[in-house]
Amino acid sequence: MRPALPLPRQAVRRRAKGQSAWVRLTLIGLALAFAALLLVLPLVTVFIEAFRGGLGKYISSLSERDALRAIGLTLTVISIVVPLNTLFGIAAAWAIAKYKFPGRSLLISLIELPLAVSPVISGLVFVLLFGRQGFLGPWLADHDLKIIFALPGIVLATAFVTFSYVARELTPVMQAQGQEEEEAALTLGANGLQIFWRVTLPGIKWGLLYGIIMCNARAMGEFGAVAVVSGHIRGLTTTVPLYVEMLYNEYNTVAAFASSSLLALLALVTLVLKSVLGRKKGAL
Amino acid sequence: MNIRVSGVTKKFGSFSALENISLDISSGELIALLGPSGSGKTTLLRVIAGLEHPDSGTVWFNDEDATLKAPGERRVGFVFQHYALFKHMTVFENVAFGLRVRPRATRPSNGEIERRVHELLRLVQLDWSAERYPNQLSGGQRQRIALARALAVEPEVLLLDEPFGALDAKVREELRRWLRKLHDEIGLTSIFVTHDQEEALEIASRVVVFNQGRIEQAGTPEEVYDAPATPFVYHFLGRSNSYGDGFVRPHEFEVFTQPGGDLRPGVLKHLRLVGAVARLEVVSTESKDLLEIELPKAQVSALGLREGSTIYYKPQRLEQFAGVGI
Repeated sequence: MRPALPLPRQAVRRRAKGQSAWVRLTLIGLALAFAALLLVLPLVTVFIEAFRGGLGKYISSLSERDALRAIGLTLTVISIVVPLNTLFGIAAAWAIAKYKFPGRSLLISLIELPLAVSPVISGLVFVLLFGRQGFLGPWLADHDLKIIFALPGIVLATAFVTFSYVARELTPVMQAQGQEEEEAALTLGANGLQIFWRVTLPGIKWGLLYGIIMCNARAMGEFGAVAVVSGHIRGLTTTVPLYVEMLYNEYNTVAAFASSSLLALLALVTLVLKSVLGRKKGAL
Repeated sequence: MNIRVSGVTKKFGSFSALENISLDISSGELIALLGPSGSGKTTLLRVIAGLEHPDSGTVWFNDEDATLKAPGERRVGFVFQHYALFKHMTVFENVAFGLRVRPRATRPSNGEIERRVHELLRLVQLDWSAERYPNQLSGGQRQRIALARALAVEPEVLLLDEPFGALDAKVREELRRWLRKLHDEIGLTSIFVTHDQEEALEIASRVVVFNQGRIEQAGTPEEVYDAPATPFVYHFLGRSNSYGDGFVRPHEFEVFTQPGGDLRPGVLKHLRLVGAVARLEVVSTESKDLLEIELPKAQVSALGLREGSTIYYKPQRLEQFAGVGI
C-alpha cells in the first residue's frame, strides 16, 4: 500500500501531547509481541526444523524423486494459472473500470466470490461437477477425459481460488487512470494494440505486477481446494503443500519442513517484492 | 477544412445530449461552442473528433462523410481539459507519439521525428522541457505540450475541450491570447468548447451558444452580444436586470439625482467601488425590484452618490423578446 505521508511537525507534536507515552508503548509492545508470536516465530521454526539434520539432509530431502515431482507439479500449475488469471484480471478490470454495461455489478460480486468461499468448498464443487458421480462425470468418462484426481482439476481449483487477485488489484488503478489518455492516443492515430502496449499497460504495470505476485503466492500455497480434487496420488497429483502434509503425516518432519521452507522462502520473496512494488505503485 | 454537422442527435440513456444539431464551419474559423455544463457542447466536439458516435445525423469533412471514421483517420487534433498527457513518457515522447504510432510506410525517420518535435516545442516555447516528465511542469505548460502533441500529427482541425478550464485566471488569460495568435499564424480550423462567455467573446471569430442540447444562436461575438436571439443567450452572455417586459444590462442605465420626465426613483442600497466601474445595488421605489447598475467611477463622485441616496434612472436600451418572458 501507499506509504503514509509524514505528518506535519505540528500535528505530530499535538498527538504526542494528547496521548501519554505509556499508552503508546503498550500498544506498540502488544503489536510487536503478537507479530513475533504469530508471524516471526513460526517462520524461524520452519527454517530451524528444516536444517535440523544439517545441510546435506536438507538438500537430499528436497532432491528426492517425489519432492522434485511435487515442485514440478506446482510450477506447472502456476505456469498455467497465473497467466490465465492475469489475462482475465486485465480484461475484467478493464471492463469494470472503463465501461458501464448491464451485469457490471454482478461481475464485481462474482470476482469477489472466490475470496468469500472456503477453498475446501470450491474444491468440492469441482468434484461434484466433474467427478465420476458428478454432474458432467458420465460425459467426461465417455470421452475418456480425466479432470478430478488429475492436473486439469488441480489447475481449475487453483485458478478458482486465485481468480480475484489481479482483477481486484487492477480495477482501482484503472479507474484512477481514467480514459482520457487512451482517447488522446486514439485521436493521435494509435490502434487498439498500440494503445494497450504504449499507454494502458505502462500506466498499470506496477499494480499489475503486484497483483500477479499475490496471485502467484496464493496459487503456490493453495492447499484446501487442491487437497479435495487431487486425490493425493504420490508423485503424480501432489503439489508442494500437499506433499508437506503427506510427509508430516508420515512423521518425516525434517523433509516436511524442508519442503515448507521453499514455500516460506516464496513468502519472504513475495513480501519484499510486494513492498517494493507497493512503493512504486504509490509513487505513480 | 470545412466541417458540416447536419441533424446530429445523441442520447446517453434517457438524457438528450444533442438534439438535431446542424452547424457549418468554414476553413480557418476559430469557433467557440459556448454554454452551461450539460448543454451538449462537449458532446458535439467529441462527435466531430470521432470519440462519440451520433445516434443519427452526419458529420461532413469537406465533401466526405466522416461520421463513421475512426478518430485517428480524421486529421483532427484534440486537446483535453485535463491535458491527458501520457504520464510515463517524457515531454519529447508525448509530442512524438502521434508520429511513432504511424504504420511503417508513413512513419518519419527518427531524425525527422526529432526535428519535428523540437520544432513544435519551440512553437509552444517549451523546447527546454523535452526531457522532463509532465508532472514536472505547471498546468499552463502541460496544456501547451498537449497542444504541441495534437499539432504533431498535422491536423486540419484543432478541437479544444475547455482548454483553459483547469488553469488559474492569469495563466488562462495569457494562454487565451497566445492561442488566438497561434490560430492566426498556422491557419487551422479551430473549435473550442468553453462555459466562459468572456473567453468566447474575446477570441472566437464565431460563437455558437448551446442550451439543453440545442443551438440557441450562432454568430460573431458582436452579433450574439448585441442582438441576442433568445432570452437565454442574453442572460448567458452578461449580467442582466429584468425591467418591465424586457431586460437591461447593468451598464445601460442613465442615472440622475433629480426627478424628471420618464425617470424612475430608487434607493441606493450598496455601492462598490472596486475596479474601473462602480457597482450600484438599487431598490426600485415603485416595484421594490433589486437592480444592478454600473457607472463610471467619475460619474458616481460627480453626482455625489452614497449609500442611502435616492436616485432617478432610466434604461438606455431595453432588450425585448417577442412573446417570451422569464
